Formats: sequence, C-alpha cells, structure tokens
Amino acid sequence: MIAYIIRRSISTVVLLLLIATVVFLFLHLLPGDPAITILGGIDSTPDSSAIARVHQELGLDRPLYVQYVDWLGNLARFNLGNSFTSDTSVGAELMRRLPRTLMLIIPAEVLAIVIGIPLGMAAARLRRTAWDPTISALALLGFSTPVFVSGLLMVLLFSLKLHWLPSGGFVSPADDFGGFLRAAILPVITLSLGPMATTMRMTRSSMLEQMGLDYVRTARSKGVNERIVLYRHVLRNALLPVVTILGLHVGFMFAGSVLVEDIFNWPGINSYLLTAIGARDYPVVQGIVIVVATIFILINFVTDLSFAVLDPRIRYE
Amino acid sequence: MARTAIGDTTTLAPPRRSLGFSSWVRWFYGNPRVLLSGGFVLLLLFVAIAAPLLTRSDPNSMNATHRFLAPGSLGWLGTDQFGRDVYARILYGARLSMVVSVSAVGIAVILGVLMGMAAAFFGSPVDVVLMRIVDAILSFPPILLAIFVVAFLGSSLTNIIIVIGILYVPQFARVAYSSSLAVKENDYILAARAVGATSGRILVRGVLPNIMAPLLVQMSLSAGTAILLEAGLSFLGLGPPPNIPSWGRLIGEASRFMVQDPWGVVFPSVVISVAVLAFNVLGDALRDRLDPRLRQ
Repeated sequence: MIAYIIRRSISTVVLLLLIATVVFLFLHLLPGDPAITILGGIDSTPDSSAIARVHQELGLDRPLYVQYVDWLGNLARFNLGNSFTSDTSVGAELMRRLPRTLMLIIPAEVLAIVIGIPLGMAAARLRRTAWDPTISALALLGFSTPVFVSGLLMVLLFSLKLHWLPSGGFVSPADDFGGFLRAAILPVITLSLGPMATTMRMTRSSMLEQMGLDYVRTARSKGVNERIVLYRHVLRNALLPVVTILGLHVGFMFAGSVLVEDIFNWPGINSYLLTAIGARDYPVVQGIVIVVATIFILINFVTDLSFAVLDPRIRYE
Repeated sequence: MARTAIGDTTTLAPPRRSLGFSSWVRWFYGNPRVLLSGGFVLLLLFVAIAAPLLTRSDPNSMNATHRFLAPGSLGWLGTDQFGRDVYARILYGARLSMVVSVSAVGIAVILGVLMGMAAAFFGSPVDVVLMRIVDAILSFPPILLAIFVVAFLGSSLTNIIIVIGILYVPQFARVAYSSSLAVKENDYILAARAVGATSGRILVRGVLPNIMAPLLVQMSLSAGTAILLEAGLSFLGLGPPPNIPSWGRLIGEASRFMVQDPWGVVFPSVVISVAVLAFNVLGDALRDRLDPRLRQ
C-alpha cells in the first residue's frame, strides 16, 4: 500500500511537471502578443519601441528557456507571478476566487450524491413498477439539458416571474449569510442536475448488475432480510463504480461552473479565466490551468486510493 | 488455394446474431423510444440539409421595426432583438449543430479507432503510452480545453470542428482499445493469423466489424455531447462567427433580453434539449440492442 502511494505520488508530480511544460509552451508559442493588449487592446498598433519596453518590463525579451526555468522555479515556491493587465498577484486573486467556485461545486456535488444515490437505489428496487421508467426518464432529461438552458429557465421562473431569488451576483457569506444562500441556491441546483443524473443512472445499473449475482441469491435463500441484502450486500458492492464516477464529476463540475458563473455573474475562477484569455494575460491563464489541473490530479489520486480501500481485491501492483 | 478459402471473410467473421437490415427496420418501428429518438435525429438531419427550403426568411436579415415580435405575428416563433426571424435562425442553427457534431465525431472516430486498435494490437509499450495520454485528456473537462484552444487559435468553423474532434478522440480510443483487446483473443483471429493474413487485413476485416457495436453507441452519445459543447462555446461568445446562426449563440444573446422577450430563450432551449435527449435515448437504445450482456 505504501509503495503504491509513493509510486502514485511520483507519477502525479511527473504529470504536473508535464502539464506545467505544456501550458508554458502553448501560451508562448501561439500567436498573439500580450504587449499589444496592454498598450491598448488587441486591435491597436502601438509602435515597436513601446512594445519592446513592455517586453522588457514583463521579462518576455529573455530567451524562452530562461523564462521556462524561471516559471518552474516560481511554481515550486507557489508563486504564480503577477497579472500582466492589473499587476496584482495571480496567487492572491486565485485564493480570493477559488473558494467562491468551490462554494458552488462542493454543495452541488453533495446535492448530486444525496439525491442521486437514493433515487438510483429506488429505481433499481422498483424495477418492475412505473417508478423505474419515470425516474430514469427524469435522469435522462437531467443530463441532456445543457447547463445554460436549465440555469436560464430557472432564472426566468424563480427570479423574473416569481421574484423569489436573485437572478445573479455574489454575496460574501461573511457579510450576509442569508443573502449568500439566496444567491447560491439557483447556481448550485443548476450545477448539480447533470451529476445528479449520472450518479442516479450509475447507482441504478450497478445495483441491478449486483442483484443478478449468485451471492445475492445465496443470501436471500438462506433467509436474510431483504433490507440487509440490499443495504449491506448489494449497496456496498454497487457503490464501487459510483465512487469512480464521483471522481469524474470534478471535471464535469468545473466545466459546468464555467457556464454557471457566466449566467449568474459569479466571480469565481472561471470568469477570471475568460477575462484573462481575452486579454492574453499569460500568468493568469497559466496559474488557473495549473491550479485546476492540480485539483483534478489530486482528486483522481484520492479516488484511486478510496477505490483500493473499498475493494480489498484490488492489488496495488 | 486452401489459403484463400480459409482466409475468406466468411470464415473471418464470427457467427452473427441476426442483425440484418429487416431486423433493424422492425426494431426501429417496433420500439416507441427508438421511433421517437431516431425519428427526431433524422428530422434534424433533414432540417440541416433542407433549411433554405423550410423558410423563406434569411436568418441574418435584420429589421429595426420588427424587434421582439411575439410568436405567430411575423415568423412562427417571433423575432429577436435585431428583428431577425427566430424560426429561421433555429432551422439554420440545426445546420451548424449537425455539421459540427457529424464532422467532429467523424474525425474522432477515425483517429480514435486507429489509436485504440493500434494500442490493443501492438501491446506494451505502445498501449501504455497511448492510453496514458488518453486518460490524461479524459480527466480534463473538454469545454475548458476547447475554450483555451479556441481563444488562442480563433473560433472559425473549421477550428471548432477540429478542436471538438480531437477532444473526442480519447473516448473512441478507449472504446476501440477495450473492445479490440477482447476481440483479438478470439480463435478466428488466431486462425486468420495462422493462415497468414496480414495485420492490416486482420484489423480491418476481423476486428473492426466486431467492435462496431460499442463504437456506434459511443457515436450517438458523443454526437449529443458535441452539440452541447459547440452550444456552450457559442453561448460564451467563443463559437463560430456571428453570421452562422447557432443555438448556443441564440440562447446567449436572448438571455440578455429575457425580461422583454422570454420566448427568445425558451424556444432554442427546448430545441437543443430535445435534440441532445434524442441522441442520448438513441444511444441507450442502441446499447440495449447491441450489447449482448444487457440482452436478457
């Protein structure tokens, strides 16, 4: 187990280094000069001496490998550099914005699990009734509807028609917790619908698969209470694939939060990313990609480990 | 002589379940969810091809005196903030969605199948390297990668198709890899090898037909998510240029006028949701039919 953790940690670090390199090369080898943006926007044509001055200030005139080593060195010290456009620290801004994105993602994931798993179990148990097709159809609708469609339709209904909830904006929970909750309800629900649907479908099909296996028949035939068969035997085995899909959700959540933050004017890391991409603000884009990639890789790491803990048959080869 | 007789495709192919044309037709008509979802997909394809025949209005022609007209007054679904015909824009939007999703999935299938079969056939270290790359891409949300690439390379229609196509390669590589691994252990592959069939022939005639079923399912599901991805990019204003009507852009633009004109959001929203739903339902139905493990 320990050897496995060490090996996985090493490959995780290698993967991060690889991502850092790809991000660096990608941004520096592509067309588009941040100096032009700084000097007056993408469509302007500033004179070459001004461009050279800005390059020097930003260190962009140095050889590429010097910039690369510099970038890795700073990264190792958790220094993500300063934004080209506002000259503020990228790390500090990310630290301010990341919690806001997580305030959407974490409750949405909890909601997806708390509603998705019981619904999936119910659908599997009520296989022969009208409930199963009803729940399954709702799940199919849930992950077929684009995030921006469900988000906008909810704004239309709950904000513009019924005036129950605000249509967007962020309220700091430290200032006004009630206001924060009201502002967060619609974005969190919007974000949770897709993952809720996939969790439900995964739980259902996984339960059905397990219920057809011999050990369930054995347990039933020796007279074990149906409740215990379901919850102690079937559920435990059925949840294994569900755990993996929860790891995949993180990607889905970040993808969805790009759109959700846009719809609800939520100042998280994704709105920061969209602005930075428009302005060719290299350090900001680099910083966000690195931070998000690190979160993904760590979550995948944890998912793999929890998989190994839940299923003793998995060998840490 | 004997070699050609044994190496013939009839012996290469394993015994098939009866999945002939007439059984597909029976399946299509005998199954309400297939009829509805498949019918809608066919309708979308038809609309995409025949959009100019179905409406006389130009989806891009603006008219300042006809802004925000209610549905039914001029054009079936009313007009938007520039007085453009929403019905025509939705029809032409179907064209973009279909072009993007069919071409992107086409690119992804071809590259993915090549990668997946190569990995399965040549074994270590090819499979380790290829599948590691595939896993790395799969763990990252496609829309973030797409935003990243499109923002720097520009969002022409070709770029959007290529980006989505490449982002979807891993899904097909994964499916092709795992199904090829299973197929290549079969005796008929061994037999083909024993009589001296070339690797290329074995892959194309022996393996490919037998991994088509899972690929077909994945194609239907991916076509749905490709529509979503293009619409998401367009919604954020990072999609194809504004003169090409797109469902995502339609919704994104209409969302700014939701108070005056809620219908502008509702109509394209319903259309895109139903379209994606149709591809997903069709994919599920195909899986139920083609996956022998689920056929009980």
